[in-house]
Amino acid sequence: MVDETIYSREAVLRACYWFTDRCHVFVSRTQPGVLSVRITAKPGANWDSVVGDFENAFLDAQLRQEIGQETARIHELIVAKAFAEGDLLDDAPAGEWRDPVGLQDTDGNDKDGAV
Amino acid sequence: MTRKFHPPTSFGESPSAYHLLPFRFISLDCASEILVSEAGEYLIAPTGTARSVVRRQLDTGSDLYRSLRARHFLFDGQSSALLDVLATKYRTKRSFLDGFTKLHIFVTTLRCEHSCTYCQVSRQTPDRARFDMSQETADRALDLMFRSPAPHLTLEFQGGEPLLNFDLIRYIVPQAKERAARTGKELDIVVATNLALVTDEILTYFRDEAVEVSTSLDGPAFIHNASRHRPGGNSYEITVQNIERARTILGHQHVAALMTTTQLSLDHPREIIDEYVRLGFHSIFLRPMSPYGFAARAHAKTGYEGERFLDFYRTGLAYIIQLNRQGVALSEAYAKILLTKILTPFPTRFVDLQPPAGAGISVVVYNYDGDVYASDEARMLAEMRQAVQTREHPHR
Repeated sequence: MVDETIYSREAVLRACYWFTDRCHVFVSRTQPGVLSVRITAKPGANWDSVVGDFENAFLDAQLRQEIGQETARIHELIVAKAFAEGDLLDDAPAGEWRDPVGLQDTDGNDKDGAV
Repeated sequence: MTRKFHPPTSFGESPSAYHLLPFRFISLDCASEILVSEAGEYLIAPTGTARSVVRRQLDTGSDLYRSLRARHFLFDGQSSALLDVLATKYRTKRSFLDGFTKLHIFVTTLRCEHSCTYCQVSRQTPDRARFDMSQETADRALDLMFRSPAPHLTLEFQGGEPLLNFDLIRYIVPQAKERAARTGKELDIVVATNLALVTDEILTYFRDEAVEVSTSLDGPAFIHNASRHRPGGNSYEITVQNIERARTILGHQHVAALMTTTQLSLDHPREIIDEYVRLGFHSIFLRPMSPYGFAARAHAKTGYEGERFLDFYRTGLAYIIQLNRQGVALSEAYAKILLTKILTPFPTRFVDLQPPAGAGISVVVYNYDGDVYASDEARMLAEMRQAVQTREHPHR
């Protein structure tokens, strides 16, 4: 039984996913605010280590979520800045390039006074 | 009024005054964990460090705090030029995305005269019409390939055994070069071949067209021939003989070899490495085996647990380092890739280990039948499913 005021649903699911190589995991909601997690070990799994690791996994998953939430905005800023400066994701404008007003010289450089 | 210095604590940031930067962490063992920042810097610290960073329980006067700040796990009033530095590092780490898809794999035929036990795809059949790539398919694949914005492309021929459709290779190469010249791109061409069917004519062609050769060498004869079956049972002998032929005609540096790890390999890392040294190779790639395809179905014959591979790798790498100390120039490719990612700000071209995953973004596969896949593994899975559906089995 997992209290959702302590561990978010996302954290619980992520933590459970890590164990799917060693266990069968089933998550359901039996009452509002409480998640029920049922674990059965797969053949060959070390049950004692699974149980101990499971509790730590919940704590770690919750912590990762908090880090993600707290740093979401700056992460977006970093990525945006990283790719904006290099023109890496720019598409060239569609259509042929034309310069009817004569703003650029033949080498494609802006002439003096061009904006 | 006191003439004493203020205590150090009055110079440090107050505990709540720092901000987090994006980072990940994972437990290494019961006593330590590793934290990795967004730009790929890392710190190995006692268990619970990540938690104390987030909970603002750090001693802001400590060396740990200063290390975390210097490696961009957090920032405070004393951090400067932060966004520019991080953005630059992030962009550098992701610079393999520049130009999008660079590696284009052409499967010229599914046919092969080998029947290697771990092979995922090949068919031993003379049915060319069914399993060879046609010129029309090659043209359409080339069209798609040269729509990639990458300024530098690599075209890799694979199969089956691509040389069984050498005529198509001879058609594609000048076409690709002409399109590269027209679009102003650089082009590298590689052929992945078992070399068993190679002739002087083929090798001369590769030399003249600057095509690189990559072949398979699993180790000394008893390892190589155990898995790489062909009529006559002489895969090792003919591979070694033709490596020398290829080197004579193309040049030593234009012939590379890759090994595939099998159950038998796992017990003989030193013998495999000795074989590569004996044949004058300067690079060996001790790579884990793909868990896909027929290898997975034949698990009893070719499968193995991760731990056994790790033992194999540790022994192999230690032996290579020992050889290096004796003056033997041999590098291990997997270590090189991993260390580049850990210790340097640069990315690698290894599509199997890229964030975001290299499927489609870095590599694309044009199959003999015109289907296009985002990865070689996807192609193999599809071939497997087809083989099951039509109740075909290779190697029969």
